[in-house]
Amino acid sequence: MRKDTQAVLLLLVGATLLKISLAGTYLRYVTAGLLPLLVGTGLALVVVAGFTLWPEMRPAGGTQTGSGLAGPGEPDGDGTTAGSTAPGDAEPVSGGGAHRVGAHRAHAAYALHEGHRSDEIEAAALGVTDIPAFTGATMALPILSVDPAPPAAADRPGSGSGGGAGRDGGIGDDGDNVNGDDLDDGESGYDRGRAGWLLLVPALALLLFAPPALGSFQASRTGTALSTGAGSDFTVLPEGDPVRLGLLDYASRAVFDRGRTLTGRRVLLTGFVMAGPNGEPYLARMVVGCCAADGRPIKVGLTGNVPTDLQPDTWLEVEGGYIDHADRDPVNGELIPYLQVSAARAIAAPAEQYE
Amino acid sequence: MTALETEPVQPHRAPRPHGRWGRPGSVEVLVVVVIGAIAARGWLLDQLASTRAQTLITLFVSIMVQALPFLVLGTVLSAAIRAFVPRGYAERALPRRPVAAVPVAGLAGAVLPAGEAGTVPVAGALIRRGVEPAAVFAFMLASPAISPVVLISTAVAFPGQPGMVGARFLASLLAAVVMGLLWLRLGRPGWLLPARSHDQDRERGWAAFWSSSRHDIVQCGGFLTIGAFVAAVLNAAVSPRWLEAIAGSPVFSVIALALLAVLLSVCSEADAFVAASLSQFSVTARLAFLVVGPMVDLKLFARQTGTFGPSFAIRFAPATLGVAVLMSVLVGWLVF
Repeated sequence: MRKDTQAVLLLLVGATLLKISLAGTYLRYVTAGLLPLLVGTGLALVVVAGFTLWPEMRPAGGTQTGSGLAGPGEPDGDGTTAGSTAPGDAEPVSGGGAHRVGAHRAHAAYALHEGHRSDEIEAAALGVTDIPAFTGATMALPILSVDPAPPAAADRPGSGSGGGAGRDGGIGDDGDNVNGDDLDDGESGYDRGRAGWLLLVPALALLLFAPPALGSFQASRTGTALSTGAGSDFTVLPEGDPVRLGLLDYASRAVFDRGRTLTGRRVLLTGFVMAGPNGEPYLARMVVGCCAADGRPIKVGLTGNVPTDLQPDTWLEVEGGYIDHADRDPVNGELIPYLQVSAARAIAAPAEQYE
Repeated sequence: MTALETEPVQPHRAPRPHGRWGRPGSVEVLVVVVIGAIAARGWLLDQLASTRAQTLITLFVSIMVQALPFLVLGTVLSAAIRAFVPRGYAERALPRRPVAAVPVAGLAGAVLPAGEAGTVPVAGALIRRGVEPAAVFAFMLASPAISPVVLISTAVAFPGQPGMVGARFLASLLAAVVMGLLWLRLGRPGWLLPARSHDQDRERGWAAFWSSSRHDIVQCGGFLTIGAFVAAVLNAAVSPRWLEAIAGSPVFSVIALALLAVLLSVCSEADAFVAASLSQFSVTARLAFLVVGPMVDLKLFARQTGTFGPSFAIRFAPATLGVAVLMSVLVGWLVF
């Protein structure tokens, strides 16, 4: 994949991350604590993309040495590292190995001047040996690769440019692997950057569809995750009538402590509606470890003054008290405690939907 | 020897249309795809309206969003190390005796993360420079598996299970060292391809850093997408009972996740999040996924074949797989 394309992809992904961070929709997928990392990553991606694209957007010609041209002062500098060039090979071009740097730099400057693609510039500046090197002026005189070990060049599958005479496929092509960085030892089909196209999928999914937070569908497929609350110390409930409790908190106290700390108190629970196996209404909320993908639901059954005709995924704020009754979750056999509802009202989905 | 082909008028042999971007290339394709997706948005929304599809997309996207910061951090760090750490630094620090050098090299992987993208070529270069191959292989296996970012991402992915980080470190290190020692005992230099003149080390400096970062992030991002998608499908589309059947069996769950790790080729900085989402599976099975992934997968196999030759890769990869699974089960049994 051409470096420009890679850069644009990264720009897209970075912009997507920034968008979901700033709009707050990231909370549907990950926990709030990740926000600084998300923003930082979005910015970093934009910067990495920028360093590739910026030199291209500057006017052609002139004396700039963009990042692509800041050729590292490499052993290539003396032109002899690639092995001695057979005099016959180098002659038509610019007088032998000692001038290879000159040829490359000249080519780079020439290419820049002519508005050629920056991958050539980068490749030239990095001293890639087997692209046709031109003198700075007019004649196009392809030379054989001065690398005396042609198998090394030929071993780069898909590299397009080879050690063979006159093949400039590496440049005329779509730029696959002309980048110095792609011409690694052991370069394989997997490294050609094709997989990178897949990054379009999540980026577009986030930008165009804003996938919703997990709700009743996932909650009904997954068993209630009550075991995560087992073994904790059940302290006295804080003051308040009714006292606001998380669903996991209520369910743990109800099941593992047999409601000891709950008796005589009115509690306020928030969650979304889901249907139980026989259609009975459950209140549920997803408990998330690191990201939505490992989210598991906590389910609490509702009985008493429950509104009828509840649609799944409606968010409710429910007030009630402990009742000693529990279902078994058919998916994993865990207990689903109940709440005796005294009042319920529909609310808007909170910004942080997961516990 | 090529004939002198003089084309006095056209300065470049390849026919080149006007414009900086050349003939329709990847950027144009990208733009077309994006515009097409925007245009087809309404239709796509209808196709994906079911709650099952929406849940799948949410799961998929959440793994991506969670993993991307660590993926970027890890690849940028590795690119920086490859671009700026002076050559020869590592070799001077190694003990002389191979038997001692192997564990030291394995541990060095924790400090010098060359990243999954870089380890195989770096290993090739090190061997060419005369470093003991057994130590190099131990480093090559350990470096993507126990690098700091990988361990941090594992800690973030398994917040309720701190033992996972230690288990991953231990099992991966053991597997790498065992493989190095196995090479000392059984390895034959004849299996390695002869050295080449193409010197990897020329790519240094800022230019190399930016281009490595860019390339590796895109690469890893692509494979992460595949891994995240498969995990999402397993969570949203596969019948839970079917999953419980495989996940419930101690033997099959480990084998299944080890094979999955080989197929998915997710970069080690991000695979912890894919593993975390496979919550139906036991901790040991997911440990196997995490230990096997950075050491054996399709991507690495292809690179090893390219750098060291097929006769090496065909022996090394299955052996690594076996050792990695063994170590995961062992450490899993000890820790969990």
